[in-house]
Amino acid sequence: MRKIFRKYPYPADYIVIALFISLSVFFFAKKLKNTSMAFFAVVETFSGEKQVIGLFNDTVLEVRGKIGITKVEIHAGKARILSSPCRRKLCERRGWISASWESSACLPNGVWLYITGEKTGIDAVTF
Amino acid sequence: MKIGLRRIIELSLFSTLIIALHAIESLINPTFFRLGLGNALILYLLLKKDVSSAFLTVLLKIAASGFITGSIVSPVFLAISAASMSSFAVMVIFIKVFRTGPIGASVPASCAHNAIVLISAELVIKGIFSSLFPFIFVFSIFSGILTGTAAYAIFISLKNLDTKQDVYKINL
Repeated sequence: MRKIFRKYPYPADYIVIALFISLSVFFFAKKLKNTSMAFFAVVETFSGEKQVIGLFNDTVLEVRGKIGITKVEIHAGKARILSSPCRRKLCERRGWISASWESSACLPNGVWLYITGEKTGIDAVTF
Repeated sequence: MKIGLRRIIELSLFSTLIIALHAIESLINPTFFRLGLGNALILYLLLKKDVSSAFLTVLLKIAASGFITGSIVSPVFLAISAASMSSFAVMVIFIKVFRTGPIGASVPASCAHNAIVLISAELVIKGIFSSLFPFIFVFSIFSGILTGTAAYAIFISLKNLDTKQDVYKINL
């Protein structure tokens, strides 16, 4: 027991703490580089069906809407409506969304895609 | 494995304290991300006693906390058990192999515990691990340092306590 007090804290303790603090800085730096505090993409349909997917979980979702299937792509912290059976394809033209509370909707098919997370920045700019 | 009366009393004492701390923390913070101050006693057992005593205490803690919180019949219990076992394994590795003290073992154990909880949550909510891990990692470092310091405080408070004599008094 006396040994513990004489030697405490052990040199290994300092090494472990320094290592883990460095790791946390690395993880934070990596996260801040990849995202602006946006965490999840949410896909809602006209029927009330809701899917929540992490923005860094690269995937393509197929969502059944009123007139067919809408494909939603999530890739590297961004999300977009990849394809939809609507006529004018406005939702596809909206392109990638990545900031918190940005959204993209296909009204004819009743599919709504939006990003959740901490609200940052400006909602919109108009002239 | 032979368990003497003295060991049974010691294990009961430590298990009761750990379960009490766990129950209090559960009341204060109902989420899975707690400080885990009960682990200070596990660290004490690992450093002062032996691995088997600490392991038995961890098993008792997992079972009892499952009954107390009512999670024993839910899938959450599996996640908590896996997290507790992994954190114990990390503590043993760091203390016995890397020869760290309580803080040096507690920090990685806390990180391992919370990482396993997040991996379990990932099965339900996709992407939660990559989204929350950096934040939980920082929280784990702080809680690990706190728990390690608490273990050190236990060393100080128990340094003059001869448990063997106390047990003999109980036997009388």
